[in-house]
Amino acid sequence: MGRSIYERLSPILSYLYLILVCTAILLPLSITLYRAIVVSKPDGSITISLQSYTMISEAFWDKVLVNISISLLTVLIDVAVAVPVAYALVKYEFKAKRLIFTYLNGVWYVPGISYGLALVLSYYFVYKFLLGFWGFVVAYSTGFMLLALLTAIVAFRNLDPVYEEAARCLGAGRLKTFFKVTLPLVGPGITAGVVLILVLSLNEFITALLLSGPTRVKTAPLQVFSDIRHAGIQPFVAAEATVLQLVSLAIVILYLKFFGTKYLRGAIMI
Amino acid sequence: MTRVEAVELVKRYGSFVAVDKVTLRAREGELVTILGPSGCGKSTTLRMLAGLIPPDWGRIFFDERDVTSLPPDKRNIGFVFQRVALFPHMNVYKNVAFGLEMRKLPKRVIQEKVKEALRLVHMEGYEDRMPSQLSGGQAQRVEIARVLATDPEVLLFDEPLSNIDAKLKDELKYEIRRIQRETRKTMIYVTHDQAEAFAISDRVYVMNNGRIEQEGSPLEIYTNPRTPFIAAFIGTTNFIETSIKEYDEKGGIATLEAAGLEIRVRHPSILDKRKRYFISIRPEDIKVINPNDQKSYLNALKGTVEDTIFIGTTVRLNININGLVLKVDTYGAERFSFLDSKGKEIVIGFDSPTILNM
Repeated sequence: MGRSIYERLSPILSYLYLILVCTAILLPLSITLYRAIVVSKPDGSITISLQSYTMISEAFWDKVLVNISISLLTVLIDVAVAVPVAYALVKYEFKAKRLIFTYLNGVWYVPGISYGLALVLSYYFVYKFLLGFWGFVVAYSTGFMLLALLTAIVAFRNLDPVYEEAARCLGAGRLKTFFKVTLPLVGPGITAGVVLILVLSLNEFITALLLSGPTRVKTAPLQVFSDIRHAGIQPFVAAEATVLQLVSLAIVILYLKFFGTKYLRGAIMI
Repeated sequence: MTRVEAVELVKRYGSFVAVDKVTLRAREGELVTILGPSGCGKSTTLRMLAGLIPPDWGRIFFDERDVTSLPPDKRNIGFVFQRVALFPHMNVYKNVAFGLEMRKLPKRVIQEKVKEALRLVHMEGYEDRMPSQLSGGQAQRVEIARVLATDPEVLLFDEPLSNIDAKLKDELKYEIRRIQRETRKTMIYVTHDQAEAFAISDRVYVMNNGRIEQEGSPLEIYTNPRTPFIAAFIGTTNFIETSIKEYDEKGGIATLEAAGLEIRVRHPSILDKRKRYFISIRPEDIKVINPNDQKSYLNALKGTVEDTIFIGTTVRLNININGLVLKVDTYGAERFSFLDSKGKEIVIGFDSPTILNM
């Protein structure tokens, strides 16, 4: 017996639906690239050119470097602080443990604008030290600490305690066990936090916008925004936007090359 | 060689008493097994001996040394876990060398000791393999090599074969016994498998509900279980609840009654006439006998074969005697003749059964 029309159409419709959804997601990103590299000539013909990239201002490249420096320092500070805190939170029992976990999860749901404003208010108006590049680093470190903490907590929770117990029984003290066994085993899990913080901090806009006033530091996304406001959506502005996309993409691809998808489950779908 | 002594160990989790005043000893070079069902507290006891969890009460001695409050890294023990605990980020060589590096031994000595430990477990040539490239049995051998390399005073094994398939398990348990004999190390071995415990142990402690119920050689525990739990847990047995019918003090024989049957037991002086008792008869201690041969046995009963079960080395018969069903094991070539004996009347004979307090 032949298959019914519904059975024959079903896979085709499913694929069409999938293609439609993927297009809706990828189209805005592709259009940015299209605007950057496709040039319309006066005679109506179009050509592909990388000329727009040569028109990117030096100020933008400076901002990209500043941005990368801020992000790298943020990651360093966050990992250095979050790893011991996460280890203690997972390994040791104390009275307020549940309360702390509830609080940490609660912070996650605070809107970006509220959190950015809170950072500006607390550091600039209360502590009075949010000035310049380092002020930005401190604010970003605080803002992304939760992400570092949560990924480190997940990494420590997923570690089977049998490895640490085995190390202790083989004669390793607490510190040696931590550095020789625990850290190498949770390392890849912690790097999931690192890559997320790198990508998110490179592209962070709301907090950067609020901080740029008091700190007088401008990041690359702010430069793109400023160029859009002053020059409109010109090919060189689209080129700047694609540079930011490529930097993030490069970080994710490098991460996936070294660690695969195991530790990013839930964060990416590959 | 080191003597291990645990005195009145107690471990509580809230109101639950996991280990209740456990006292056990392992003499120098002895292989002692803690045998018991899941959740009886045997692994908790072993983990206290290792220093992985602190006891709430009691003391632990290695020879004269009180190690109760020492962390695991200060006890010089070798612990083999139930789950494979090889470090996944190190190859076989680095795993085995780990404990030696912690002891800051020279590189050349480490190389020699790793080689020797791997030879002992027949894993030479696997130095460069990662744990993920080893089978379950190979990984467990490397794990044993890793603890042996450090020359520990005491070896502690926590159900190391429970995740290994039956055939390999059979092979490895004799390997463990061989290694223990070769190295003459004191070993405390935890298992829920009676056959495994009996095959390798010098002495066995049977644990139940956080307590030691009996201690003795495998033979003592099998032939003379002290409690109904042990009789049921160790091997297969026929349990019968009985009361005393006759008591011949002179002849040293008592007649017990159960379900209208009379079962005779020797040495009844321990019996209290007012009490009821369980008796335990192992299926292998009951024989199918010639009806003319009844007088050769202390007990001879007539019954009907209700069912036959082919187990391989034995054929088990379920014999119905006045409504009481007894399991009887038959062996040798004779066993095949019983395969189609369902419904037939036969006579069984057995000697004095084990008497247990209720």
